[in-house]
Amino acid sequence: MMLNQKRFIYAFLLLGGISATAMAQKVEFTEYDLPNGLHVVLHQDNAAPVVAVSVMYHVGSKNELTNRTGFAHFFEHLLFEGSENIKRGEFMKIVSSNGGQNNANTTQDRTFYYEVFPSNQLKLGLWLESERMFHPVINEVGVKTQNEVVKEEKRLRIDNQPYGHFAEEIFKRLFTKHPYTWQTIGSMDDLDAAKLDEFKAFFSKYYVPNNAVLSIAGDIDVAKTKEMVSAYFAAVPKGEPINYKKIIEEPITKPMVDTAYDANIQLPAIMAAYRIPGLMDKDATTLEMISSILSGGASSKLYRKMVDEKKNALQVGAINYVLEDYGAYITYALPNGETPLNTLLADIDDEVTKLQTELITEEEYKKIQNQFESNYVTANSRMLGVAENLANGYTFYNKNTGHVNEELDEIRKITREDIRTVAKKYLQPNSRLVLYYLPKPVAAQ
Amino acid sequence: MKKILSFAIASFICYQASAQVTIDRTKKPTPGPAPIITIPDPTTYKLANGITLLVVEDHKLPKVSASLFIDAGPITEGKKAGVMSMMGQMLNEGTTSMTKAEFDEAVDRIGADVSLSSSGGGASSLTRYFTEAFKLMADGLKSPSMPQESFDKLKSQTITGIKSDAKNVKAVSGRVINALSYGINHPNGEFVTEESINGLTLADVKAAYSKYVTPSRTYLTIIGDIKPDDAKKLAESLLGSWKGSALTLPVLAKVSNPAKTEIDVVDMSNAVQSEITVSNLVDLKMGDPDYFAVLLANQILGGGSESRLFNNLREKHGFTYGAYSSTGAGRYQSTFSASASVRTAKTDSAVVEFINEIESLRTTKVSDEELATAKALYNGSFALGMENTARIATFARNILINDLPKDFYRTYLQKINSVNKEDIQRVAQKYFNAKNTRVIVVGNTSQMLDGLKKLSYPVMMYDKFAEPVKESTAAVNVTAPEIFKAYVAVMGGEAELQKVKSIKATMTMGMQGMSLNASLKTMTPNMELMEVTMNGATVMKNVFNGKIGYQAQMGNKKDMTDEEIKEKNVITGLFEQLDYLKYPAFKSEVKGVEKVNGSDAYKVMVTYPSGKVKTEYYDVKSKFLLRTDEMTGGISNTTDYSDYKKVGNIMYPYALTTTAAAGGQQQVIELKVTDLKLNSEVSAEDFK
Repeated sequence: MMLNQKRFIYAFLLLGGISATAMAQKVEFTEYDLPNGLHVVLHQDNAAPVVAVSVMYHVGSKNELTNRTGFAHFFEHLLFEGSENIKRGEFMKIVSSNGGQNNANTTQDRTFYYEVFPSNQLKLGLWLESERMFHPVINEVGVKTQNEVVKEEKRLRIDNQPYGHFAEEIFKRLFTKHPYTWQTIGSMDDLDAAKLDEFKAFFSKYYVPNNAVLSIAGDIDVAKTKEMVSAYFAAVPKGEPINYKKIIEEPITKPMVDTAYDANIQLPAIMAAYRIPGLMDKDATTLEMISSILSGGASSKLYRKMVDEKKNALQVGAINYVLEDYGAYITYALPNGETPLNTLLADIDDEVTKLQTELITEEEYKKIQNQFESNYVTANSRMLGVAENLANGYTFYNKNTGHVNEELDEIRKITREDIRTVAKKYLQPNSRLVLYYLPKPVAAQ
Repeated sequence: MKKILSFAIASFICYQASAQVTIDRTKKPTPGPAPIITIPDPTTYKLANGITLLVVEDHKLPKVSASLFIDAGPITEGKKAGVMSMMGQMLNEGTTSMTKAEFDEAVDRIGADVSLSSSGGGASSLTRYFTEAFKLMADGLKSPSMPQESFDKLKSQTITGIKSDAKNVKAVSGRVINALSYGINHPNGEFVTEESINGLTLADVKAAYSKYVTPSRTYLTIIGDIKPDDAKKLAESLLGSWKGSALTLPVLAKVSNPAKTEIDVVDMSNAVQSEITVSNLVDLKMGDPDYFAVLLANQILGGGSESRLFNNLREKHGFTYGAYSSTGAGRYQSTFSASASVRTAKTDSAVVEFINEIESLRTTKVSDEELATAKALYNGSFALGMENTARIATFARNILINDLPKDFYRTYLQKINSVNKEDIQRVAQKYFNAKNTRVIVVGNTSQMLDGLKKLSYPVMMYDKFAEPVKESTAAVNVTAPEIFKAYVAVMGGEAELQKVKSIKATMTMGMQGMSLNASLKTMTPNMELMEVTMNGATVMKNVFNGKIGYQAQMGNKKDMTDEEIKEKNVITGLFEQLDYLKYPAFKSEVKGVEKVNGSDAYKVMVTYPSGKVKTEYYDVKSKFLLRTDEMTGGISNTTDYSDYKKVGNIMYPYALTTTAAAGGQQQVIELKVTDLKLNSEVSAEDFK
């Protein structure tokens, strides 16, 4: 069977964490801390009778111990099991039978839980999230059940997914000491070996009000919401302060070339990966623009050259996989027919080299600016998006909740010269990983 | 002037909160009063050429979207099925002033989204580029270039799509449900086929364009950061002079439901589950007072994972991953249907449960809790939907199109909330049939047909195109050996076939839009070599030298298993039908007559000495082999043979189409023979 092209993109999307977001208009908000350290962000918009209630915990797989990976993602599941006042299995039913929607997701850096309700159910959202933070039930039954669910999820989303291991293969080579070396799904052996007490300890260390942002956006009355927030969350005890120390990786000084195998693919892929700075760095935004120039849409440089004109690639892309401490910049291609992988690599490198030596045209620059602006406007059109973007600002940008309001200006300040400089600074062949991602030979399966 | 009207479900909006908020966290909080839902009226204009313009002003984001809808009603395509969809795709292939590449570049340059279809189009962009984006959409609609080259490309893509769906059980089920419910001459019942697409010409597409892409009965909605007056000026300047034919809504004859419940079965041997759908036609206009009760009745029966069908078929019985129902409403007849993908072995039991659940909704009253939950869900999702401003324009357009009272959506939740248990039972009896409905089952009949026949309903067999099939072999007065003999005769006769010691076929191969070269060599008794190349390099190689063989692909080599070798070795010549006739170890049986690509064909099941079963279809008229069907290593393979041509003294199929399917995925490979050599250019050396 041939490769389903969309799957490859999907594999990237699944693992893609946070992306830069901004908007053209100012997002107003109120923020404050409860005595227990919970940071509260309220955004009032009465245009539609909808409210998004969300909690962002600043815990992800990078907070895990090396022999207990997968804990943060495991909690994404475990914290739906119920609480002292919510019976097992009732959490999701309560949401849907009251006309709401809910879900959660985990990255290397944070875990995000949310509900979206008609605005007269604000209290219900606060009750659900405060129960989850205050006294969730963490017992053997829940751990056992969710252990099975997580394994099923890993099979579905990673093990059976063509190209599902690409991020793992790149990150484990790009990072040697930093916890980004493992993936958020973690190791099933670690999860199997973990004792109930270890889960309880991880919860009381990280899922505490002083490590969380309660972000509420929508049809609310700010004064009344503050009272309700206090009523539901003030009783949650404060946790110990969290001392996270970023582990510094030594710079990559020589090229790495390696091969990885995937049993779910028929078509090989070539990937080049560069270690880049974390999302606080201005260069992370410039790299996002470079991705757009290289592979954003049918008229981008790599797509037009390799897929449309030379027809030597089925698919080609440049991904800015940016995280809190570091990131990975990845270019990749899948061959059309028998094109050698090295030809694809050379074709991609040619375009990268051009970015490093020539300025992009004024017209291209304008196109990228327009595309970014349009995306940003759309990204903040729903209350859930606003709630998440505000929480991101506080969590990742030095408690700058309003970061969302500054991003478009940041983009506009990036010049064509900056693009050339940043491409030269980070996309260097002698400090990168070239990975041949090949179908697993049948005999070796 | 923009008029804002609002309504309150309750008179006050306030949270039940005092200065000192105390809570009881052991209980789920009670909701506050239902929110006030404000539905502003769009500003409406009528342009001179007939276009109705609806503008919803919303300056929250610096963005504007336009959506144009041509209300032609259901269109009967007849023999030209697929022409409307092709026409819609052609509108995205460039305009008289821009090539497709230029058009795409112009859209990307301003970061906009622009798309066109046979019933209109859409454009959205940042406010400052909206004029440009709107102009691109208008150009696409008014002056498409319709190049022949694009038409040919789309035609071949569409045919590939149809082929790749040939074994898709859900796709077949969807087609048969509509065809049987409405009849194949009804616009909702007719369907696209390879034949109908092949028959289309560019002239057909152009004719459909001039008939159906017109300002007549057209609704243009513009939403977002724009003043109504500016929207009107823009629409007038770019679409005001647009002219076209006048549309009138078609009048369709009413279709009846079956007088008594029947089960209509389609056999698909590759199905791993049965697709079960219980469906009846409903006449329900959105303005009918029953409308709201029907929505809630459907919600209680099968609207979601809280509903009865889900609880019964998944939670209680574990027949399926999910079971749901849905109901239509509108100007024309639509369908109520309940469906699930069910474990094959439980097909009959699931049918019983479906009918029981519908019957129970008709005969007993729902509980207070069920009704309250269904109402809460509608209230919630109606409110959540209001986050999308486009919905306001959709509401306004629906009111115009369906001739609804002006306050239809403003009083929507009031009407939902006033439905009572008696209403639910009454509408269930009126709209959800149990004793006069149609149960459509698509699946592997060898594992479930006997069970269905034991139920107390008549069972009818249909093929994948909703044609009735004769099920019994009694109607076929011919034996398998007679069919094989007739085939051997039309192929050139036994003597001539025996003279063929080797065949070399040079072919082109189409797969997922790629074109490759393939070469097939065979040599008596059973040597085989298939090689696929691209730009001179080998992509795939399958070889068998009579004793051993292997498959090599993308640098991986896999040897044939002993079992595979054993299977190859039972064949002693290049035409296996001669073996079927000669050796009694081959068992064969005629299973009836079925349509294969429009022709009647005898279905013959051949059991090899190894136990492997192959199904072969021979044309009743021409006697040629039209199709083979077999399972190899969990992959189901269907190969169609056509374009038989004379080579030397024998006949040979010059076109082969193979569909391989496994685990819900499929792939279609088309082979065309460009050159064929008998008894030359092949030697035993080739099969190493």
